[in-house]
Amino acid sequence: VRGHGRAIIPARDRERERSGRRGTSPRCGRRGGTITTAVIFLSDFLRADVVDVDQRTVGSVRDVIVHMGEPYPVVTALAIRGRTKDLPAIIDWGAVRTGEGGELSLNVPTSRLQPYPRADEEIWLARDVLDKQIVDTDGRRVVRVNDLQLQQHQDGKLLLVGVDIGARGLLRRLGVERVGRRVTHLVGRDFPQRLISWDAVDPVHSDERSMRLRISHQKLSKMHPADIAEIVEQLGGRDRAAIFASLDDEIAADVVEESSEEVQAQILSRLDDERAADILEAMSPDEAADLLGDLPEARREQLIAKMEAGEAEDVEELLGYEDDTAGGLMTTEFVAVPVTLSAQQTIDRLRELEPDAESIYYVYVVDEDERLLGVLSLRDLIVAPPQAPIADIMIKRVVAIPLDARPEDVAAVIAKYNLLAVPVVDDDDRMQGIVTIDDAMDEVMPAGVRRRARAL
Amino acid sequence: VKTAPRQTSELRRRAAEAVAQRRERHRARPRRFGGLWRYFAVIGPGIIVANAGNDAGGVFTYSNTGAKYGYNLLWAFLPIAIALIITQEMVARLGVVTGKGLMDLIRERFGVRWTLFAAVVVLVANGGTTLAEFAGVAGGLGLLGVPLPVAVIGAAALIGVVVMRGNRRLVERIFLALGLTFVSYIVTAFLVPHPDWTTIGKDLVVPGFSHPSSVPTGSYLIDVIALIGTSITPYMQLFLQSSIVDKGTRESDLRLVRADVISGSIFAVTVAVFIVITTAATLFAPSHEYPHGLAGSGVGSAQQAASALAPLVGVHAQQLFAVGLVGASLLAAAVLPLSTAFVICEAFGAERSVQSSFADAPLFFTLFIGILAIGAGIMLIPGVPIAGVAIGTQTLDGILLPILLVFIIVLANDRRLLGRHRNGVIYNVIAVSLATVLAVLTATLVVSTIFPGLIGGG
Repeated sequence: VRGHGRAIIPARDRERERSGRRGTSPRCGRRGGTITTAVIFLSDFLRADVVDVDQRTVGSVRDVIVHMGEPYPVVTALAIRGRTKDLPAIIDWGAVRTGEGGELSLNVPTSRLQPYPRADEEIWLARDVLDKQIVDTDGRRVVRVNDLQLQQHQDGKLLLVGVDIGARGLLRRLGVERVGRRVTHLVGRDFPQRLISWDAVDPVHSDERSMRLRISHQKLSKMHPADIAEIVEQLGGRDRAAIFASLDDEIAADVVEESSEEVQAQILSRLDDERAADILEAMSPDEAADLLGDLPEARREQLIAKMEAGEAEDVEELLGYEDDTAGGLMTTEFVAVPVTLSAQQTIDRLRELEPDAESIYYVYVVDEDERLLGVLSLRDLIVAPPQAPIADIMIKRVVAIPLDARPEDVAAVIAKYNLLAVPVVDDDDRMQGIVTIDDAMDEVMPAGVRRRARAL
Repeated sequence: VKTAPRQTSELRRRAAEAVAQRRERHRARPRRFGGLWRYFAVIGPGIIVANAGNDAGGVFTYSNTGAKYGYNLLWAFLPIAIALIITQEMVARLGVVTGKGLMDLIRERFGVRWTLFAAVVVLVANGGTTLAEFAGVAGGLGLLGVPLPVAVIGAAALIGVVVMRGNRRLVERIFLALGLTFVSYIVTAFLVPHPDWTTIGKDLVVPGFSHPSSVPTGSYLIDVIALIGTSITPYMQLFLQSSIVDKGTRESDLRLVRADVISGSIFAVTVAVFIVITTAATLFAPSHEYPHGLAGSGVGSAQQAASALAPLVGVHAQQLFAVGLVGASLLAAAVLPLSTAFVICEAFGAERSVQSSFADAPLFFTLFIGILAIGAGIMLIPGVPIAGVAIGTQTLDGILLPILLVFIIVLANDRRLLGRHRNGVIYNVIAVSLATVLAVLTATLVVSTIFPGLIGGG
């Protein structure tokens, strides 16, 4: 008795598929030849029946189970909706054969099927990936998985190779892909597949279980923090938390710095205090102070108490300044050296300190009372003879701004003198911090230019 | 990395003083309000959504209920309030725990086919509600002497401009404030000549299932379904979950979210009850003066509804009613097409942003402009009854609500999704009863329409 379900890919359909396509369709399978790299979509699987050795329908495919591997996940088992009680719920992929034309049949008699041992590291494609949001790390955006592309490898393994994010995948799921193609042909257009390779995506789906599974967001963490921030903004709270759980403190701190204020607060609200304090420590003090300043007092004090003493002190100091002054804008991370050093000694000092990127371009020269005497650019230091005293090579007429300067004035000074950062001094000319160009620009740029508002 | 030379300077001392002062200032804020501040940080979506529920469809439906049935249908508001709280709480809980919108969850849990089905339901329900909002704009501006085509086209253009390039937050607040004028019904109820408070009290708690013999069964069913549909609007659920997700409320604040949702629901139902009481006291005449409730094409029905406010503001009743109606309707007419287009695009993974171009987000703009155009277009058909359209679309909402409710119930019971926050038994009993009652009412309506003689009264 033949089952009424359709085989995975009827031969007719496949041929049409090929003849109908132009350009770069990923369906590269060539039937009848020696190449065995057949391409199958998950939706085809999910509609397929499973037949036993006698060609009797014994059940249908409920889900496809893969083991996360590099670069492509490998199909290890099928979850089966059995017609009869004696069929195990999950059967090993090794017991299944995809015949000519993509039939799905069992290699062994039903009675000899072994129950498949459940493993924790496994992903159920329909349950955990299909229809979920996923990060396209090449396109740097969040997309929805309409279908998944599987490919038969030479060694017999079935690999998860691609993600369908296009309208064509949607229509395939609805079972009307051919109708859609006919319509587009009628209007003289191509109906392209929109597929992205699995090695360019990062799954973000998280439920209570996979939160424990901790998908390592390796690909994601290699992206630019500003791109990660944009992606994180498009995700739901729990997915955000899952991503942050996998990022290390430094990257997480960069991402938080690049996020909008609302998203910052939301991210922080989903993190426990220990972790939040770690991320705040890794942030630059001015950004951390701004973020903490927006929090309710109780939570702010909890977090500051959990931070390391040195970082906490900096942040608290910055919190003391009004938001709309140079003091509120500045960061206390800057390089200041005593005027008595030579160029070589200064360079050695820099190596020792390993300053952050945004504060390395200028080296400020101060006397023993921290009074600002001059400034050196990194270039000045490198081209100077090693033994030259910095007192001789430094620029003595330093542009500095008072603590209570208005943000617009700070930005104007930076723009006028073409600076990357401007030092902030108190009434006695003592160096207190620097305002970097990005922070100054943020203050004066209209909000709409900086961040495209999200609709609703 | 610590790079600044650390020496105790005068300024450090001063900075330390500043920090101390700042702390002192914070401490000066009374502690006993600590809890209250937290409440205001989370509050909002529930109240806003509840207020948005008292839109054109709501006002017309409630006025019609009062004018047509007097106090006879007041009892329905108690179960409606409970059902509203239960539904909104489920939706809010889903939003807080998962951090995702309702359509998102439907897509992730049920797949493409069910999502398409849900999207069509949402599109029809929200399209209908948008139409009701345009009816409200037409009615409200009509009272102020603006011709209907000018009002409708002007409103559609205004919404297009505001949404595409305006300061939406500000405009939302203005419209919301205008919509609050409906609270004046509560005051009016105490000024009308003789509100029969004993009858009102009795009718609020004692169900009276029989309907006036002058009203045919079909019409009665339509009015009851509209009453439920306008109180528990499908779009309110979508909107509530989206705004909770946008606020990023923490799971530990779930109790505050509940408080917000409950107070919002009670507020909304209270306003609704008072609209019914006021219109019942002023418009309901058992001697068949308004046997068919609000009637008439043009602005006649709006005039009737507005006249209920006369005891409060006298000759200015029309203006007060008009301002409130236009405000509430414009707010909803702007939010509805936008949020509908947004959630549908989100579910299908299509590009969605007001900032992108038509070529980048074709589905988003097609849906947005389409809903707006159909809503406005239908109102431009000559002789369209304003109240009839407003109430009819609420009946549609009531018919479609149980479908959405089933999705919500299944999601709220999902262990993988909500874990320990999933539905309890009592919730399920109430929610399933609501869905069942609505489904039965709808089925009865269909049957009584096809076979008028089958069910008594007709």
